[in-house]
Parts: sequence; C-alpha cells; structure tokens
Amino acid sequence: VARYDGAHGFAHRDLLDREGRVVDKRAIPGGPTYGEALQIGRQDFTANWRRYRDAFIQAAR
Amino acid sequence: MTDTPDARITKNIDLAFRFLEEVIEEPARADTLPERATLFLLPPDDPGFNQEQMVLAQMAATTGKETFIWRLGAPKGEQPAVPVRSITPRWPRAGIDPIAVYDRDSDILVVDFFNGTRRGEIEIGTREFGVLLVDSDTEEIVVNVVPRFLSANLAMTSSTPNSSIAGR
Repeated sequence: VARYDGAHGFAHRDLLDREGRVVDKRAIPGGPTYGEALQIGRQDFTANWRRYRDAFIQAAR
Repeated sequence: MTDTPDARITKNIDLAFRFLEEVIEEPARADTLPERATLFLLPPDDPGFNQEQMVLAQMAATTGKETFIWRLGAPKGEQPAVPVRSITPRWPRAGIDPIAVYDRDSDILVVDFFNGTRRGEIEIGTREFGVLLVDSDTEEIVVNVVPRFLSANLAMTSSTPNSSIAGR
C-alpha cells in the first residue's frame, strides 16, 4: 500500500506492507506544498496503482 | 453500464482525491465521520455507478462495518455523509390499527398499519411488496404502498388456473 503523508512536517510517500508497517519512506522531490503533493499523489496512483497492487500481492505471498 | 474492475478502481482513485479536496477545503464536512469508517463515494453525475456503490455500501453495512456514503459536490449547508445501515423490515404483529386507501386512477393501494399514529422514515422499494415505509427504531413496516394493485392482482388471478393445473 502506498500512502502520501504530511506527518513529520514534510510531504512524503510511505510504502506499507500488509501488516501496516512502513517499509519505505521517500520525500517528494522539490519540497512541494501539501496541495501540490496531493496532485502528485493523484497522478502517481492513477498511473501506477496496478504496480502498487501487484507488488503488495507479491510481497504477501 | 457496468464498469470493468480496472475502470472501477481508476474511478474510485479519482473520487478519493475529489473527496480529499472537499475535506481539505472544508474540514468540518467530515466531522460526522467516525474513525475508520468505510466510505462509498458518489459522484453527482454518474447514476449507474452510484447505484452499484449503494449496493456495495449495503453489503458492507451488513458485515457490521460503520458504513457511510459521501455525496461528492453536495451543496454547501447539506451534509455529504449519510450513514448506511442494514435493516430487516418485518410485518407488524402488535398494536395494529390498519387503514387502507385505494386510488382507482393511479391503481395504488396504501395500507397504513397504524392509522397515521406512527412514522416510517425509511423507504424501501421491493419487487414483491411495492414500497415499504419502515420505522427506523423497531424495523417494523408502518406503511405499505402497492402500485398496480388491481392490474397486478388481476394478472395473477388469470394465470392461477394454469399454475394449479401444472401443479397437479
């Protein structure tokens, strides 16, 4: 699961495993505002949801 | 038209971000949502999709999850979050004081089991019994509205002899 998050004071993307543990945390390049980060997240999920889903299912096996 | 599963996922992603934008713009709109509520998002311009969402929401509600629909683009001042609950309507057994009104022109029969003394806030359309107005607290049917009352029953009567012959 991917999560765009504004905790810790900066916009970043977390990847979580099926137990809800954060396995990857990446700052969004360019230090976007939260509003910009929201749009980046929207584009990312729209374009890449299949990849996120497949990786999640693969990791769960 | 029913979306393919992939189209449905893509649409739900778009709706999820529209939901986020609405809540960011006016956070108080989400005040009525409990933590970890299950949300089904209804766009204002897609009745076919919304019908499917409603079915899914009702199924989710039967599992005991706190389920809500969220009307995207709801006018200001209106509550966009509406709780979805699962109810099992039952015919009343006690305290019945029925009154029936038949309107010949529209061929509609209305049966009020409590002679106007109780309200049925929940409206449920059924194929078998027409429209049921149900008391939200007791889940009792308060009013039954039967459309095509005579025409449907005449059709049933005329088909009965054949059915009974076939059953012998």
